[in-house]
Amino acid sequence: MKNDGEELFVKVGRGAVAYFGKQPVEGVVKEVETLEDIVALTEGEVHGKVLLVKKAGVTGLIPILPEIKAIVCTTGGVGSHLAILTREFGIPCIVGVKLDPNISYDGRQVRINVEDGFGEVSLRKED
Amino acid sequence: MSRTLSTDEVNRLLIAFSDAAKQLIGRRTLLESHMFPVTTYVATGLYNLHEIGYEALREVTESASPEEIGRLGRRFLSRINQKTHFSIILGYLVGREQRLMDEDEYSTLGEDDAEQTRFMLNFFHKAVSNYRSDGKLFVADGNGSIPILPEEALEGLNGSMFSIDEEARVSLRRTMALLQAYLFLSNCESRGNVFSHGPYGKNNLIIREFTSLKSGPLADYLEISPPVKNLAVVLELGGMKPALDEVGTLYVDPPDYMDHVENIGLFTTSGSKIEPLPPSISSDVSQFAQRAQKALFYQAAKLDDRQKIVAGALQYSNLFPYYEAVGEPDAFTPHLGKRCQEIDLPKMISLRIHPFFNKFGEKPNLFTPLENKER
Repeated sequence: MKNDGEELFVKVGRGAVAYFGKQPVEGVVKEVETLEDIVALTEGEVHGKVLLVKKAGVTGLIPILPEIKAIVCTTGGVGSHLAILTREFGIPCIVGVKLDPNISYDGRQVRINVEDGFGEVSLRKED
Repeated sequence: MSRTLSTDEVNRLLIAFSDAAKQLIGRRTLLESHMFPVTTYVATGLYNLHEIGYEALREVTESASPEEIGRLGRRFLSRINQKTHFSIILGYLVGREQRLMDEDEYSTLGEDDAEQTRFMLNFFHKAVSNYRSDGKLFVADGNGSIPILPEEALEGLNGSMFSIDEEARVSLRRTMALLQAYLFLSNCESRGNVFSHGPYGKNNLIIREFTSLKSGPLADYLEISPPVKNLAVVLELGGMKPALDEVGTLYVDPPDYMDHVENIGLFTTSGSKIEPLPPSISSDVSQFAQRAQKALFYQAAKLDDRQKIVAGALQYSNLFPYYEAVGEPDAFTPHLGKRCQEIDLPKMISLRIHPFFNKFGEKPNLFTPLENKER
């Protein structure tokens, strides 16, 4: 899907589509690594954000699932628990995404789209 | 088939299990969770299943034959379906393979391995042959279907299905999502008590079952009770395309299938009878699931690493559904066997990931065949 403003973004990763709606999703990344990170989140810290996680399990994310706009997971497949539950809730989610580990994503603007059946993750170019 | 499987048949079944496992794990992957050390507790649980599984199923089959046990699963909300025959026997085989791979003084399986492995696969063959309506053993053989209900059970649904509007679809979708989230927590991130089967008939019915709304290793921490003990959601999918995997996970094309469902049924059981539920139950279940999730999340977060591994291992080696199904619920309590407690659990707390889980990308056959002494 091509959209106005796409040239402002550079592709940084591709993965399998666990769930995706009809339109590309944009939002600010909130990266969480540990259960302590999740428990420490204050109300509103994840609201409307795109969650970036490394684990494809779901139990640690349950309190924040209703708040988030989308999820990017660097592991997992379409049968992972995170994929199953995001499909059930209708939360856009791309799994098994290979991202450049040298880039810091937290706080950056990201776009998620589907092309040729794959989930594409793009990062907004920095000024 | 009343005879015991030959060695060749056992070995062919081992290959079939290997293929099915690879397909399942290919989609699921070896996932980890922020809350539970999943791969660690899976390995521990499957060591345990190998230790206690043979004796347990021997005991169960003293009350009912494998064929009868297969037939006991051919009903709505059967508790046997909270685990699936496939996952139990696969778990046993993985536990066996883990032992074979261990490079320590415990790596030998002993002389009983052949007899016990044959027994477990024989059980699977006889039970599942009398469970699926099509006589197939694996979901992949049945084109992604799990047909287990007889015609008369499906006919009993007529008159209890009802049409729903968009608001009700949105609400029901959310209820099923909240329930699954809660059940993932209650079952320590494992997929317990959620099972779908079908499709059935010209209307392409899929039945989504939540076989127990208060079950799993963390259920004892829950002080509230669900409005019903179990819930079956019957969905008419019409022209949409459902597909199931070996453990009853539902995939539908299109994924937003709930936007298009027009007729549904909601049911619970009372004894062996199935009872229709009113549409308002969706809201009641949704509220329960939200409260339960919150309570269990903070409870789970307080558990230490060892407690989480033990809880998950107990879930993976829980054979209670079989005992309950044959009328012997008091004969089994989830437990870790002696060897698991003394050797496997401490080992896995240290090792974290068993080398078996690296085999998925290496060997064509995951499971070591039996030596054929019949030739």
